[in-house]
Amino acid sequence: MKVVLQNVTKIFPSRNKKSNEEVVAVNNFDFTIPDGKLVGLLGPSGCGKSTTLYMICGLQKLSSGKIFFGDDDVTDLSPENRGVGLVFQNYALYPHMTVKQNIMFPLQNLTGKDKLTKEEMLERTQEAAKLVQIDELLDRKPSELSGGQQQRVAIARALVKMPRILLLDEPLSNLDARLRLQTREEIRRIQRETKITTIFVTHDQEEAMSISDVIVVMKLGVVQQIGAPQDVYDSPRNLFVAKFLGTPPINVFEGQIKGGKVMIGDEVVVTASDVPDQKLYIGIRPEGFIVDPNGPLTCNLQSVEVMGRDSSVVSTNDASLNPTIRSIIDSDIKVAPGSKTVNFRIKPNKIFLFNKETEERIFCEVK
Amino acid sequence: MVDSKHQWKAWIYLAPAVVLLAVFTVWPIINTVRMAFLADYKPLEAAGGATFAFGIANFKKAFAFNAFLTCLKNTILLCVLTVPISTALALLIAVALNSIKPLQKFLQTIFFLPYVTNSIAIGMVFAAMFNIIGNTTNLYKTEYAIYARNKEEQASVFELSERDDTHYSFVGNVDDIYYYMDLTTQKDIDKCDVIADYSGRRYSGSSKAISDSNVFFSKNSNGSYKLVATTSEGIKYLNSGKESSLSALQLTSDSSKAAEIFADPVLNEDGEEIGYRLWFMQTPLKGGDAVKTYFTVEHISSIASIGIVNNLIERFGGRRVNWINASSSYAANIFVMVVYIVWNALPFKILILMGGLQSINKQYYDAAKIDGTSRRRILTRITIPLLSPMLAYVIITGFIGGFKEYTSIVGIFGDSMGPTGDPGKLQTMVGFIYDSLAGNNYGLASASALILFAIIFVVTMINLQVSKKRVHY
Ligand SMILES: Nc1ncnc2c1ncn2[C@@H]1O[C@H](COP(=O)(O)OP(=O)(O)OP(=O)(O)O)[C@@H](O)[C@H]1O
Ligand SMILES: [Mg+2]
Repeated sequence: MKVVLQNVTKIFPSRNKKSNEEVVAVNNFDFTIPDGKLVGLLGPSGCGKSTTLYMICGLQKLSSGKIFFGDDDVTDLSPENRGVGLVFQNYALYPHMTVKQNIMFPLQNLTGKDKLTKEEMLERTQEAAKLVQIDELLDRKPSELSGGQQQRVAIARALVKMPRILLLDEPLSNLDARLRLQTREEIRRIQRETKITTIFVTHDQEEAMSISDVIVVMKLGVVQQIGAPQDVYDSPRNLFVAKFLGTPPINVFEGQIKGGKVMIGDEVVVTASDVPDQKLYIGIRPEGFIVDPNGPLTCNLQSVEVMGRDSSVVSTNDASLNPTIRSIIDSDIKVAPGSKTVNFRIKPNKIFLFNKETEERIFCEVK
Repeated sequence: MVDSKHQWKAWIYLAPAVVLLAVFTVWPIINTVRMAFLADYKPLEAAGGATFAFGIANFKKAFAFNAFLTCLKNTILLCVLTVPISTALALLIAVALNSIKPLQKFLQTIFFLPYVTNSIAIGMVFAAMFNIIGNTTNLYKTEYAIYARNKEEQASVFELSERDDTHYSFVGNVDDIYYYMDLTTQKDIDKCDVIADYSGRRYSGSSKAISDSNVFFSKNSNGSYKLVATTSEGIKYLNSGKESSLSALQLTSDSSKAAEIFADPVLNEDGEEIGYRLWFMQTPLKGGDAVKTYFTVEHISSIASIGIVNNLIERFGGRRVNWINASSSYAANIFVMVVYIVWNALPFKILILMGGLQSINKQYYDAAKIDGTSRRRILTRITIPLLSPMLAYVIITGFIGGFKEYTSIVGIFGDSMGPTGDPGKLQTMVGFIYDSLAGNNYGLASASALILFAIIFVVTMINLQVSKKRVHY
């Protein structure tokens, strides 16, 4: 089932009657989620991710715009008639019911021709539980489960009624690092198996990039960029997206372009054709640095952190907006110990130029 | 841990509290238990060194008492009826209140008002709603109007003109002359007084307070007075034997022809007796033939001052119910008590349940909505289970409070604990204990207190046991 968001906008009226400050939580969201894909909705806290999700599942009304599931207009449909499954940020498992009762609950609500017999319900509960590998835990209460198990129960509950669309609101935010890794793989697996169109909200870019078919980056209610994770990473549309994706984060410098030469301080790092002279923000991915004693970019060396396969070179430069510059290099390449400075060459495909006023990407050929 | 060297300091700090607890809590409990097992315990005699037989005589006596069994029945009945009703109602109101936004605070305040109002005061208001304001002695009288007629078809109504607790006047017009009739209430019919204001054209009479009689007077042909009382047992005549002349009776030109009063029952269309018609022969002042003069003492059905409940019942075509007056039925009494106690118990329960509701995470409701849960199922499968700790608390405290019911009965029926003419009909356990104490029956009171304690204890244990299974914490 594809999901079409047409100019979806959500405005919360101001609480305070005196100040007329409305909150535009989601601004003109326009996107078609392809059928059977896993979409990662990504953005910093408060950017309107949950609000978007709630509008898709019907818990919140749109201020304007339309939502279609396939060809059905569901804009004014109530949540129960939309056939969506939602996994809440904190799971919202009914604490007084066992895992089995929790998973079975949506089935027991079915009435009319959809009504199931007890056996059918049990069977489907079992199926859903097996899918998320909690069939051993059916008689426990949510409070007797680990965070990861709870999350899987929540997914099973959302899946059991075969939703047309599965929505997950930061389902991993409460888990520790290892469980997070494990469960996000599981979500990916379940989604692949069920082929249910899934929207996954997170503010963790790594999470979104690792499991999504498509990511949507949002900022202050406005969609910044939509695309396959690697495409967005490799070609961010603006400084915000560039900064938001990637760990360690992109290194940003102040610089300028003069006669096709991109300069940080006085040093020409790369050349770019067909760009008028102007001041720039220059973003360089950590993996875009190559240690080269003859390299144009000279930085003050602070430390070298060896992380096995790679090393991270920490240095500073007056033009850098970040307090330190982090570059990831092959650990075979040794930086002379005790040296005060380090020189880099820059990989042209890892450097992005941004207009200093608009912070929009300047697309051009970099050499 | 306090180090043992300094423990005495801790005890000193605790001493005031310990002493107060010992004197005002622990000792009374011990003493209650002691007195309960001593037959015919009298504190004064005990102080004088008397000893009392040890045993369960007091308990036997309590259970042998009809009054005690009535109390037990009343208490249990009220508990069993009011706790479920008030809990269910409080739950519905709390859920409703919780789901509305506008006026929520306002309505919450309204529902909370009874909680901060004195229950005796509320009881009196309820008594008035189910009846007529005032004490029961007067209640009866106001249900009667007195008619005077000089011809059967020309009725002239004597209207109530003044009243205080024991004495009131009626005024009426017969042949363009105003007549007054004073009635006074007295405990004993033998002591009926004629109110001594004979000036002008004033009838005087007396009325018996105790149950349902009105007393009128007439003058016998020999100059003495005759009092006529209409009582529940029928018409009764009394001769006062007083000699003074009554100007009020100068209705006849010849005092020797003063009236002898006769009474006929007055029936309504259904043939029910609704009063009496008193009549005597009278010669008009202007002269002429003697005419028959009637006074009708009659039940009036459209009196504004009956309680609002009966007013409403009659407005909608129902029959008035004798809720709490003399000779009212037990079921009616209990009904009034249940309404009152439930109403009185609601605010606290609503408050607790509202608090509980507001602490339920809203996401459970969002989740339920997405799962397509109907409103009723949301209430039964989500709200009630999640509210169950609060519900258990409300039910347990409700039962404990219910077994200690006392003031509400006083509020409605006064300290006679029953409708007029039937004191003690709605007596409760606590009331019984008070009465036994007032009657210097310490042993019986203590034994009853222990029995009450045992009942509350058992019921609370059962409640806790049930809630262990059903309550989700
Ligand atoms: N009911 C509401 N009334 C007013 N403003 C709201 C309401 N709900 C959300 N907002 C505002 O809308 C914006 C978007 O909120 P939303 O919950 O969608 O953020 P989010 O992207 O999910 O953030 P997080 O990652 O912290 O969960 C925020 O600025 C928030 O303050
Ligand atoms: Mg959120």
